[in-house]
Amino acid sequence: MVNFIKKQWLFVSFLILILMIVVGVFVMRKQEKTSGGVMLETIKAWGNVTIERHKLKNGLEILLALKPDSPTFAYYTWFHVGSRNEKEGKTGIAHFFEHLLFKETKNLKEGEFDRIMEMNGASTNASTWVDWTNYYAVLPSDEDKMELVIRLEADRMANMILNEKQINSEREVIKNERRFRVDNDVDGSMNEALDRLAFEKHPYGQPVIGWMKDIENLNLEDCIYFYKTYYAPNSATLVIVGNFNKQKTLEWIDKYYSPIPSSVIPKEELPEEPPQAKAKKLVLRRDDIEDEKALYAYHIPHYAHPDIPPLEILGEMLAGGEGSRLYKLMVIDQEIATQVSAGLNHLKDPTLFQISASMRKNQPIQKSHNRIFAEIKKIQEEGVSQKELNRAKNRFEMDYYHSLETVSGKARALGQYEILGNYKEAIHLMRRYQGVTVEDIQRVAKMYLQEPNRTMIVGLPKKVKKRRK
Amino acid sequence: MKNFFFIICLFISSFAYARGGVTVKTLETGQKLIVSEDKSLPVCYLYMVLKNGAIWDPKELEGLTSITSEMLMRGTTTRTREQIRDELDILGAEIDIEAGQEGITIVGQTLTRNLDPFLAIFSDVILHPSFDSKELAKLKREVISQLKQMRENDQALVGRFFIRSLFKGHPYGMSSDGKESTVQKITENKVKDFYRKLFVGNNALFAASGDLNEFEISKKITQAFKDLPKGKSVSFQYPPSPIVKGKEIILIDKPARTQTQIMIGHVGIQVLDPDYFPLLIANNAFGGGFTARLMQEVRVKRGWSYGSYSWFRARKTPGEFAMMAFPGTKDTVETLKLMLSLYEDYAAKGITQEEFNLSKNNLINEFPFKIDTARKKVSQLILMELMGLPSDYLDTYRKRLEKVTLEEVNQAIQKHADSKNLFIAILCTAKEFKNKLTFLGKDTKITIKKYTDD
Repeated sequence: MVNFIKKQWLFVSFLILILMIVVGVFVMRKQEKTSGGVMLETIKAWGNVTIERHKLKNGLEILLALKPDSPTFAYYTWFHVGSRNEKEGKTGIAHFFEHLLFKETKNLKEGEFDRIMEMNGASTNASTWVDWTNYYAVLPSDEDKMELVIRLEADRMANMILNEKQINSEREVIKNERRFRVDNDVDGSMNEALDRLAFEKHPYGQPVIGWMKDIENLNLEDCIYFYKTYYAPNSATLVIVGNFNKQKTLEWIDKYYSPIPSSVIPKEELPEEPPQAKAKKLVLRRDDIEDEKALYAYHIPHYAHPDIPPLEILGEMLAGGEGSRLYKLMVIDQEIATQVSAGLNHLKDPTLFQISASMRKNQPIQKSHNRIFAEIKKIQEEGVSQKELNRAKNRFEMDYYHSLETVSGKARALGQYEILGNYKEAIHLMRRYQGVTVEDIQRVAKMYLQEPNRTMIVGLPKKVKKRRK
Repeated sequence: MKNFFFIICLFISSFAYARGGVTVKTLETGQKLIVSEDKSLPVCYLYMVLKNGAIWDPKELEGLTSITSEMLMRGTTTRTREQIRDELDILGAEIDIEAGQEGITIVGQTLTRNLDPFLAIFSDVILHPSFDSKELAKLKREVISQLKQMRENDQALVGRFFIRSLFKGHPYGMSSDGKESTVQKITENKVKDFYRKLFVGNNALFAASGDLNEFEISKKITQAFKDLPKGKSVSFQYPPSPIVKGKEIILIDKPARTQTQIMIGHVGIQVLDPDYFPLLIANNAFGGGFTARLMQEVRVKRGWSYGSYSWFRARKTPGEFAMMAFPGTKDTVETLKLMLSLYEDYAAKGITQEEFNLSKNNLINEFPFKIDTARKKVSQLILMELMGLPSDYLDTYRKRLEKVTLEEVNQAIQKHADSKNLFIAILCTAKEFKNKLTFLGKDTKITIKKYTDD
């Protein structure tokens, strides 16, 4: 019987495959006339937005989200490379490129990219994260401007000139960026220390901006290898959102990107983070810490895991706004803290559920430990109410819509979830979260928020002040 | 019949104008209402804006406007703070209050399906605050803790010292969030008096954006705020702007810095100054973006700072002109020298034709970003109301930029850029620097303050 079902299923699968090929050929033929690529699908989202997914032969993926009533468009290039792809001793190289890509190309002198973009009213920038690097330009809707941005973005994907002079000049800027974001910033230093301590094997333990020593030592050879390997069409997804001429946009993408060859991207072999068997703790003492503070982190699964929605909603319940448990207890009722927050990042690989707290003057951090661990225990033992769950879901839903307000917000959501696996997650995100139950919350609290799975960073003022009794 | 009359009244009071996706009308109750619809996402935003703010704070009660505004969320005559919070959370809604110096904005956001119950809370907190004394004491303790926490943020800290010193004795020199010493003195009676003075119909306007219907929301707001007392409209008498003579430096001493925060500037122009558009182009070329002189010279050519910018804040009376950079400790003196010499050159020679073309085109072309969402459109119109800008400000924005010539820009620079009389705030580990600043001349006044000073 089982064999029969298997055979039947194989036959049905074969028919589906044939059908897909036929449809694919039909679509491809239709598209080849204009774009040289394949349109894979089209869907409606967010009221009047139509989203199409295309792919060029060289592997470049394209998401076009047409919003006809917008006076602007956002052009995001997402590279499927981030600090996760960095080797020990070479940290910061992905972020280094975030700077280098605004320099000279074979076709543009240094400074020309920014000059042309600014002349056209573009807002441009880039960001680097553990799983990705993105470059964006947001421009007023205009056909000439669309062709311009496609031409310039394709140019810097393929034609960057990398030399010692540029690397050395940008190295100083990046060292100053690190001083600004980490070395002279209390929160930045504590977050860096937390990742370092929590991850023993996985590169999520390395800082995205890189260790100062590594920034100082990165060389031309490293940069050329990284550029040739990861800055290629088969490592990228274009996301364009706003008001534009779809057909012409596809033609220009074909014209400027199709000649760029794909690269051989090494198979990602990242070390798996071993389960944490014992609680870890590090105390940082700094001159510039005003009052005692702490970060708490628990290892949790990767973004696609079904436990992520209940964990994220749990974070909302613990410290999302004034009505959340810890905020109400520590900031409002007992007045021992100025700030408490909780949450997680959506990442490709197993990540951290984090809680942070900053104490008020003369309040010892031990009180924070006691309150937070007691509240977690309470949820593990007694669970949460349906009313509390509904509150957290509504807050989450509002934040989600708020993040989608602009063309850039939509482009960020589509690109991020495409990197994580499927852009449609950005559209149907709420479905995944609406299904969370009170039982799920209690279960994940029990499963993940356990002492041996916890890493803590405690920040203390260097000069120990006398406490009031 | 009454309802019919009510609808007729609303109809008559409409149509001040409706263009660019925004409708502006006057409600039956006398306030302006600005509406921009956008039905793409199931959320909407409501605003109540008061056309006066923290410049009214008495000097000894700095922070009073902010505390009064925040107290709206700390309980009403029928809802405790906790009830307000719980009810908003259940609706997936938020109310944020921003007490600025020349306006207070209360903005609420909600899922559209919950608009009616949300509006009931939104109007309740504005119309019926209880000003509970225990909550007031609690809020004061909270604000004082936050002021202490702010000392960890070097950039916020240098900005605070810079503005306080540049506008010493002027209301622009006060911080909306107050000082530890003044917040402590704020009493329940002062808060109530202040509320009665500012939270009145003649000082208010409303706005709404998002997934809503303009006609329906007009009705709902009129109904919800029908009991708002009309009160008197208040007009602030600004003192003259302060004058900086020569160069003055304040070193804000903070231990163990490996990076310095530098802020340099003087008093600039008011928002209705005829040189506003020429100076917009001028400043954009000097320190507005990535291709501007400051960024090119400080970051791109020398790598001394991650960023370097300049701005002028055009307010009802002259606000600040300022430039900033944050170099590593070893490059601090050279960066300071460079910034001063760049500004001297700019003040003396103005900008070039090439810089002018780039800056002007950039500003003209980036205009759509000011109005590319319903919420931004509404925000722009609120700003126009607060600053007293003409109603065609947005419609003529690009045309006014287009008309500006290079000569006008350079004349405006000559008139307003003053490289001789400057105020300089530097956050650093001071002992390393004081002796290195002799290049500024012996007449330069240097004061050292602790970063913990009030």
